Amino acid sequence: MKIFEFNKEILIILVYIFLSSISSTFLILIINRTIIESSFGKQSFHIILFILTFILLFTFKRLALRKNRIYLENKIATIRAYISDQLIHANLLQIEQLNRIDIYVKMSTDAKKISKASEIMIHISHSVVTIFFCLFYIALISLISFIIISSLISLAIVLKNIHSQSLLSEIDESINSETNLFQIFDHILFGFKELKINEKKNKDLNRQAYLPILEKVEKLRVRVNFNLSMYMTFLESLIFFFLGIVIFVLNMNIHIQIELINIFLFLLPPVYIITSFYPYLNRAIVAIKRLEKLLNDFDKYNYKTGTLEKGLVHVYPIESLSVKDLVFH
Amino acid sequence: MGPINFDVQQGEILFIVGSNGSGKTTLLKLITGLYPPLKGIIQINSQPVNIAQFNYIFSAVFSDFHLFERLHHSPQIDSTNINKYLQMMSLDQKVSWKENKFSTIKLSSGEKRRLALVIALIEDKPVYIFDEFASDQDPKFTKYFYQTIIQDLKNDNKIVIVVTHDKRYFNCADKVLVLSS
Repeated sequence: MKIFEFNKEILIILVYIFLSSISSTFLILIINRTIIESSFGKQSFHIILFILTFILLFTFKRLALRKNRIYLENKIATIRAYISDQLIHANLLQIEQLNRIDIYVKMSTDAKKISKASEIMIHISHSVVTIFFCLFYIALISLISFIIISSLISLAIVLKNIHSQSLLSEIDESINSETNLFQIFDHILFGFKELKINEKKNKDLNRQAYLPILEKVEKLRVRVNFNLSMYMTFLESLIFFFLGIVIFVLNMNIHIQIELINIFLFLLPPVYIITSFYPYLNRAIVAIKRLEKLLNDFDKYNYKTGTLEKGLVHVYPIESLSVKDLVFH
Repeated sequence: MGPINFDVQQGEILFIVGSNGSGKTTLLKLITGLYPPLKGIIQINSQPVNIAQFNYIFSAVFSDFHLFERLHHSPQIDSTNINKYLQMMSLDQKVSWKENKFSTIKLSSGEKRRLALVIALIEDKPVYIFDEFASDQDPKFTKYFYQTIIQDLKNDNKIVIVVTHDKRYFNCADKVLVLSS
């Protein structure tokens, strides 16, 4: 079962993002044109255009955020309803084989991560589209700058793809280890009496189970977060690297240089958004995969074939209850 | 486990006894349709049935029961009845019925089990299942359970099935099913 499939709602959200990104690129275009053409007395026209574009940007961004929030929260509610429906209709044997902590983590922590990623996805998508339009704008101003920045972005994308494979599996491993940690917590809470009166058992659980997992979780979290930070730093430094090339290496007209620097100043927030929200996005991707696995497990074992499938049969009064040659393994 | 055969009529008490691991609790789960049987049939009124479709006839207090703060089953709850049962189980000083829920479920393990019994009695079902109910009750309440509560249910024409180790009270049963491991 796929949690997210391309449909009309996603298309509408994408259209809103696309329109808001065009609006934000137009803003920088208007600013640049105003600076260049200020001597020709077109400022009042540019102000009106700027205000209109700003309103459009705000409106489309708001629409995208709102539509996306409604869509995502509805998805999460549907998943939660689906899982409880499956559980209610399962039979006891199936329930007894479930990893309860795993379900709790997926239903609460993972769902929250997806919910949190709702706005992030909009901001990142908006930023990506804005960067794309800015590249187009750069191409119009200076082809060589466009080639250099495109090469740098391609390099960043290639590195991201290489980086993502290991990163996503590390995030998954980190969450699985945290699930194991919660299971130990469960033992501590529910086996409190046994642990309290048995010092040896208490110490053994602590040394053999709790501390090693705690240490593993700590190491994994450090590794995952450090790798994420390194990639973010790399992305940020690309911008400054390019600015350095524009100023010190390429021999350009001062107006083009100013225009390019303006574009790059404008590009900084989208890049910052992508780099800041990149960890959340990755965690949300892993959370979606984990929830999908849970839903697929439910589908695989077909929990709905449990009790109540044929509906209740009412017989009154119940005069006798008997069993004949009942066998169970 | 099995083959197992028994028959219990309206107004009868069946005790299921046996050593640990003999399958007493498993048998209760089979009877109530929580586990599917590998072979054999379960009959109601001498008619073979898919017992999972009849689980509404049971009210059970399993050994690993779960307490809910609310009853979740009846739109019309008679608070007088609930208070009567709370008093009967010596819980009225600790628990009360307020705003359609019990004031607390933070009780001792024996008290929790008695509250589970209150809920079972309120449910008023044709078949009652008790899995080692008296295991953590004091002698006074154990006696009350075997000699009063289940006898009242019997007199009320209920079918009562009790998993027990209390040999002293085997005389309270109409039938005893012994499971051997």
